[in-house]
Amino acid sequence: MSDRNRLKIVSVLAAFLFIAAALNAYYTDRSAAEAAALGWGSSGDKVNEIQSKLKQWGYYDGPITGYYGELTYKAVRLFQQKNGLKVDGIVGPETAAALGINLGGGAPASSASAGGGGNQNDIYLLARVVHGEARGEPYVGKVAIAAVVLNRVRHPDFPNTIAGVIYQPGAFTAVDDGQINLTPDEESLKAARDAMNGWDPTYGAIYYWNPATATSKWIWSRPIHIRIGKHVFAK
Amino acid sequence: MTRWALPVVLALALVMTGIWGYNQYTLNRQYGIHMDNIYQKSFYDLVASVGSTEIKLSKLMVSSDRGQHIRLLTDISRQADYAQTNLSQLPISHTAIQKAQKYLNQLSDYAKYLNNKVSDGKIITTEEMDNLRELYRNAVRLNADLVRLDKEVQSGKAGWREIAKKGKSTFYEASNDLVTKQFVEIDQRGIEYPTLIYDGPFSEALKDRADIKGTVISRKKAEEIAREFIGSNLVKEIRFSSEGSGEFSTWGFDVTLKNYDHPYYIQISRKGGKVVNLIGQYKDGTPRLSVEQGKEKAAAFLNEKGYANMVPTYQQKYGSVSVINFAYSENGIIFYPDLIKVKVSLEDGRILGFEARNYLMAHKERDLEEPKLSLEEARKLVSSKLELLSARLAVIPTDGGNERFCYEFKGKYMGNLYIVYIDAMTGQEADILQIIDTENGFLAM
Repeated sequence: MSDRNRLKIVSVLAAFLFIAAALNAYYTDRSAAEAAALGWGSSGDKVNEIQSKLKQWGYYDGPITGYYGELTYKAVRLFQQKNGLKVDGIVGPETAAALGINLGGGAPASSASAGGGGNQNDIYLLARVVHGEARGEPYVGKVAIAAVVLNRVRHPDFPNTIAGVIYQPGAFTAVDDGQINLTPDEESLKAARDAMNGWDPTYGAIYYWNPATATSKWIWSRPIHIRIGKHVFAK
Repeated sequence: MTRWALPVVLALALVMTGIWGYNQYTLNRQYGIHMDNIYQKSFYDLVASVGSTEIKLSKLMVSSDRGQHIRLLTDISRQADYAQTNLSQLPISHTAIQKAQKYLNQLSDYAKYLNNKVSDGKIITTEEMDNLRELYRNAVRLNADLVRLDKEVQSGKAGWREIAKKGKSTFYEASNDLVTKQFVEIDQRGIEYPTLIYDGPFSEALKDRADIKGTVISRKKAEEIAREFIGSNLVKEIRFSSEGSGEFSTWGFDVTLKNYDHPYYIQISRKGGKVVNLIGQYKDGTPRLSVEQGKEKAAAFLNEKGYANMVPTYQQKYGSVSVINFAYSENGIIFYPDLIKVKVSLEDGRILGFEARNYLMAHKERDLEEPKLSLEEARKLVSSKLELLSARLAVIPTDGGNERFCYEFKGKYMGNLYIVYIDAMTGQEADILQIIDTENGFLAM
């Protein structure tokens, strides 16, 4: 091998490494950018701000709910279209700047407490479990899943906080496989809120499973309360 | 030129894969160690706090000083809480730690209850002392078992990472690694403790709450009741969904409505044929009714369904719906345990939800004694800092499922709204609530 060839190899190798490094940096950057954007399913004060701005300027005629749903999504797209921005229905840094809103680096969930109905953060976390565990289930089935989490919080055999119950190792498949990190849809949020407000179609159940896939013998020894959708609920 | 091009590209690809693989390996190892450390920390904290509760319990049994009792009980409940939190973070199946978890929760709860008692100037009874002794014996055993397990983990016989891998899908089935086996053993032989009946959220007394009274009704009858409740003229189709048991036995139905796209779900109690809950699906729209109008709709609905004397106490608004809490009221006394919630659409006034579980379990003829304190006497016991807005008599539920007869004072301090409850018999301050008035929730005055 001549020196020239060696040089070639080295430079090609260097190019590969550079690409690898760039890819790495890109992915890291992208996740950081995602954290600072608001889209369908986001909620909190920032969403309130977006909705009021859009309403002021006549792009949005829905209620100011602090929840980024279909109406907000459509209004944002309309706003982006009219203002020559990339039309994706997501309020990222550029759209936010055009709206005159500072997104900051914070998480999209709000920290405002809502009294009686529970903390907004808790509702959002609960909604994420519901979304991950009960997609495709009837609405009542979603309320039931949220109710089971809350029943565990009140039960002595389980942790005493919503986060403690949800993140107990192995407790929920959606937590193990990361589906809990998906943005919950509007129905999951509604179901979480209903459960938080005391609706419990399972009457105090603390376990649920899908009879078609559950393999544990122990779980079948529990007294079943009710069957809703694909799941059975038990104490 | 072309002769060596292919081998070079292949060699480069191999090198790249190697680098990538090595990176993945180190990353994986780092994550593994990191997880291991987190579990290790939880476990050490668990061992330390169980050890600490053991010592505090033993001191409590020989102490006769009230101040000391309060300090020790505070510590015990805090340490037991912390132990429980750490235990639940270990990657061990639920079935293996269930009893230990319950033990720690009840220990913490019981210590809190005793602490309240002692703080109120009462003494720990001999029966309660017996319970404490039993709890102490369990703490000793649990502590010894954990220390032994700790040695095995230290000596490398058992590790957390292996368990975490196995434990993933075995929440309900104890796996056969060493640590889990130990925990199963602790659970089966180590923990036996008295049935604790006291006024706290984890009291065993809460377990057997009574079912609704009344004659058992048939499925056909339940269907009629459901149809009537939603409105026979609105129902398109009603289909039996499932039977429920548990706190209540119920008949459940799926209901579709005329001129409405979303399904309803309703549950009727088998005994007495009462509507326990109604869950209606909806789509967010534009609110046309005010919150006040929504409240009137809900009140009218309750009245029409035969729930008389229900007064609104709290109201929340989410998008285009509102949830209103109602409590039973008689002779100017409000009974908070008899709670019904109604969800109403602010778009068209439609009833979207109804929840009467609390009401059905708690509502009864009550035989209240005359309050020992007059309103004036009770008012003097409320902090003078509070600017009082209203006062009335109220029955409030306690954590342990009992009731307390109180004067209820609503007042303002530094812009915040508070409700203070003064026991109408003893004059003790039973509870203080701070009302966080937001856009979404407000108190009915």
